[in-house]
Amino acid sequence: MDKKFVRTALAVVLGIAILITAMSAFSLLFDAILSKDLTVISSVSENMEKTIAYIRNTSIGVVCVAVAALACYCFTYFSEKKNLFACLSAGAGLALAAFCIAFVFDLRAIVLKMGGETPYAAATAYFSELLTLAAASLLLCAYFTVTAVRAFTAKKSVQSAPQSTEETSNEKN
Amino acid sequence: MKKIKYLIAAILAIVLFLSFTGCAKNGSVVQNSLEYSCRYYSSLEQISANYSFKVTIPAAKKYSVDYNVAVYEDSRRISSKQVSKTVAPNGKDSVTVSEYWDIPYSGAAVSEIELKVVVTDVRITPQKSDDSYVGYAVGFGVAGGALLVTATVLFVLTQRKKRV
Repeated sequence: MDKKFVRTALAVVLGIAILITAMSAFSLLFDAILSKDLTVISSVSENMEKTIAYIRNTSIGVVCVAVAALACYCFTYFSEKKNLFACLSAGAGLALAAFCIAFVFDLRAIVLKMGGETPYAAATAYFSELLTLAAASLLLCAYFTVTAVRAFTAKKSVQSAPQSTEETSNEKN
Repeated sequence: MKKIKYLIAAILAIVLFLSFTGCAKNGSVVQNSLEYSCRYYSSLEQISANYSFKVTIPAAKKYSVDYNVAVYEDSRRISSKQVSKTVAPNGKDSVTVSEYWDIPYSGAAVSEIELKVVVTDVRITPQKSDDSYVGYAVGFGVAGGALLVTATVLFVLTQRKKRV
C-alpha cells in the first residue's frame, strides 16, 4: 500500500472524527437548552422529569469537556511542542470517551430502575449521541497517543545519535 | 500576558452571561379577570364556589401560583384557604387558574346573590428545576474549563518562547 495514500486516508478519517466531535458537542448543547420544553408543553411524570434533568446536566458537562478536547486538538496541530500537546489531547480524548460511556451505563441503570417506556425512549436517543461522540474521541485518542509515542521516541533517537558519533571519534583517536 | 488577561476576561464574561440567563421574572395577574359563581345547597349543607382568573407568564417554563381565596356572604367571611397550583404556558400568553371548591356549611341560610369569591395575595414565581444532577454539570464544567485554560496557557507560553 502506498504510504501517501495511507496518510491521506488517515487524515480524512481523523478530520471526520474531529467534525463528528464538534457536531456532537453542538447537538448536545442544544439538547441541554431545549430539554425542558417537554415539561412546559405537557405534564410529565416525575420519572420523566428526572430523566430530562439528568440529560440536561450531563449534556452541559460533556459539552464543556468536548470543547476543551477540541481546543487541545487544535493546539497540537499549531504548536511546536507536539509531544506535550499530543499527550494532553490523548488524555482529553480518553477522558471524554470514558465520561460518555459512563453516562450511558449510568443513565441506563437509572431508567431501568424507574421503569416506564417514555423515560427509556428519551434515554435511548441520548445514548446514540453519546456513543457517537465516544467513538470519535477514542479514534482521536488513539491517533494522539501514537503521535506522542513517536514524538518521544524520535527525541530519544536524536539524543542518542550525538553520543554514537562521539564514541566513533574517540576510537579513531 | 495581555492575551491571557483578555482570554480570562472573555471566559468570565461567558460564565456570567450563562448564569444570568437562568434568572426568570415573576408572572402577574391579569386585572379584572376574576370570574366566579357560587351555589348554596341547603340539603347538602354545602356551598360550592367555582372561580377562575388569568395570569401572565413571562418565560416558557413552569410557574407556581400561590394565593389566598375566601368566600364571603356580603362582608361575612364564610371560609378561606391558601392554594398553590402549578401552571405552564402551553404556548399561550395568559393561563387560566381555576378551581371548583366545595365548602361544608351548616349555618343559617345564605343568599346566593350575596356570595362572592375574593382572591388575594397572588404570587407567581418560577418553579425551580430538578436539582438532582446539577453536580454533574458543575463538576464536568469546572474540569473542562480548567483543561481549556491549562491548554491555552501552555500554548501561549510555548508560542512566546518560540518567538523569543
